[in-house]
Amino acid sequence: MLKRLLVLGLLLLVPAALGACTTTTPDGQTIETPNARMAAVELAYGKVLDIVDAERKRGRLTGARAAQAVRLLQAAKAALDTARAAHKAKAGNLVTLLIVAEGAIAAVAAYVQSKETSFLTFAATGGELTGGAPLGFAMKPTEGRLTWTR
Amino acid sequence: MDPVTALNAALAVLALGREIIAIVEKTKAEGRDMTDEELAVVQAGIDLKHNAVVAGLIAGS
Repeated sequence: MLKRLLVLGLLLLVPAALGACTTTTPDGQTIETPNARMAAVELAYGKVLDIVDAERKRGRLTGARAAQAVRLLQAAKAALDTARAAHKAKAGNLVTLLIVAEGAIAAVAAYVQSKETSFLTFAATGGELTGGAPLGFAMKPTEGRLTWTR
Repeated sequence: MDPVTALNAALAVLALGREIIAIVEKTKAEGRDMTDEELAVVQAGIDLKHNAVVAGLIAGS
């Protein structure tokens, strides 16, 4: 019971504002530096965590779908961690790794808002993500492959 | 987990949450990039939130 309360507390206290901003100047121009790119993907991941939590609270993520959501979140987090390592090392492939992380993040958002249980079925036949995920990019199943649009 | 540890953890999360909101608002208002230190704080918050969301999914399934 105490653990559940703590988890609930964490979810309430860690701000939803994490996913509520983009890295832009006051006049709307996007900042394109490694830190800005990294921060934008971090905040997008914060946003997808909000989406997953909202779907769970609505009772749409239980059983096999919850287990699949956990696996997808862990995959997206691994991609994010890889990008973090490249950012820290000032590696030249940072942008590529951030795009991979974006794809993994978008896949989570698209899956949890679908009604599919199997992610593979969703990836092959699922509909285009139509809303509720203002990530700045979206996952779109196209001819059996997942692509993402900005 | 004993209540004191749980309370301390909740208070730490609250402080971190406030710090992150301040960073996001400040950098946006100033129209500048996050420093490495500010980015590290945001990343710590993301890690914490990831763990909480995954724990919530596992506990509820």
